Amino acid sequence: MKSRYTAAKNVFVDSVDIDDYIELNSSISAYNQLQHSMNKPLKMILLFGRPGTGKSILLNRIQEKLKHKKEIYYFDTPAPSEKEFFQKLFKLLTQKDLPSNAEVNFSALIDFCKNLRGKREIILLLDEAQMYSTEMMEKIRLLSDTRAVKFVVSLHKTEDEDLIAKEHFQSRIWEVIELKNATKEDQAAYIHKKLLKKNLFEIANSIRDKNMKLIHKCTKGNYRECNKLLFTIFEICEYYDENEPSKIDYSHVSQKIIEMAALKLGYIHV
Amino acid sequence: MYDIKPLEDDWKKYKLKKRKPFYVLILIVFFSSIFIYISLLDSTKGFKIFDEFSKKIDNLSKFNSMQSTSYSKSSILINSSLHHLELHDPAKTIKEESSDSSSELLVDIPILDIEKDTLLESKVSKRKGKVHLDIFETTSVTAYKDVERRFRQSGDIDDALFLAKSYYKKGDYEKSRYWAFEANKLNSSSEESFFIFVKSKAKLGNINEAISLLNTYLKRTNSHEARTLLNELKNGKI
Repeated sequence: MKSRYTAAKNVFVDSVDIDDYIELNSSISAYNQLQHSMNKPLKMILLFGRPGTGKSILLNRIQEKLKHKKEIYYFDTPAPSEKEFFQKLFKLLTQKDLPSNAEVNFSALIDFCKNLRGKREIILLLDEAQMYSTEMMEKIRLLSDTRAVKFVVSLHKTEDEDLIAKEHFQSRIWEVIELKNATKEDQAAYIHKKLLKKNLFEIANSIRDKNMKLIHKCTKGNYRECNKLLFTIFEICEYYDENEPSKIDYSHVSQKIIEMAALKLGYIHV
Repeated sequence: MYDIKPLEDDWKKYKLKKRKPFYVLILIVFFSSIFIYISLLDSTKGFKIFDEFSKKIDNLSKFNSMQSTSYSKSSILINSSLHHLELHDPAKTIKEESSDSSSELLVDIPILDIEKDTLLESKVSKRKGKVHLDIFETTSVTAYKDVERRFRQSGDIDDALFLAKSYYKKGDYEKSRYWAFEANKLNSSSEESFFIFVKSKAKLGNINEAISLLNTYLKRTNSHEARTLLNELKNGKI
């Protein structure tokens, strides 16, 4: 018989599935801010934040919501090469496939985009933009200058990259939206909503405020880390449920199990 | 998940580490308590040693004072007067009631021996555990007997002083002289018991002896009260 915790564990498998999107106060605010910025005559928008703060899911969400209203495209991972990126872009802009042996003439592409100004408004959502080369970013900027293509660039914010990112985009970006880690309340709501979405009411109720505090302390409100920790917590619960049921209290998740999960993931140390 | 056992072990270690400051605190409190307890115990022991030491000093000073009485003119005066009194004292029966032999103690009436007095006082107060006694004015004869019996058990100076004052007030000067003497034996620095003793003597007709005692006392203490009493005695006010 399948453990009740197996389903709970699978809820927290880290993915950028739009169905898993959880509406929180902070995410609604970020969504509205991004939508508002996209409606402005801006050339480039920088979506900025530490890994696991929900940038990718926000881009997915906005693409899903606006795809029937606007010409909006999402580039989840950077193309392996410049050639492939422009081939992909060419296809989006011209709606035509480029012969596999042909290369995109960048000047011609700029001219093409200039001709599109006022006729079409294309929005490109570029995720993981820190992986693009400086030259590529320069070409993207030139494309945005045509005002026919608007770019939303999502960028990881790490200690080292923070300065570089700001420096690089300082003169080019018109608006910066920064995503931050969740507050304790937001994170608790996130966990509850995720479980309730899968009808796991009892398990959602078994996580108490004390548990939430510890989870937030370990993950610092990072959604990705939260998913990892919750997955491990329910994995341990699943083990006990299947092998040593006497060691588990079904009415609430014990601090011991959370601490064990935190130890396993390295949030705390012996 | 197959690594649950090592994870449980790690968790136990983690909990132990987390509780370490708490355990350390408990240990500190525990050892501090033991240290304080031992310190207190040592200080009590120290008091006992001091007590024994003071007893030794007391015996030594008693011996010295006995020696000094033979050379001290003033002491001879007092002792001779007391001896004289004892020979002609009709209240010998009262003295015999006392379980302690007062004849020996009479020799070293400690009124003038101030150095010894302080040691003797501490000796008496430490040797005999004080029993709380309620002393009040009474006219009942049995009440006096009760206080006397109580004094035999407790050796409380307050009892002796009470009896001395009460008997003096009642006009029983023989008994008041006796109890004043008993009180003064316990605390020779007590002016009150000495004055009752002197006044009782005077009332019993031994005015010269009383004056002589006061003069000797005055030489050593220059007490204002003693001087006043002496004047009163000389003027026949007592």
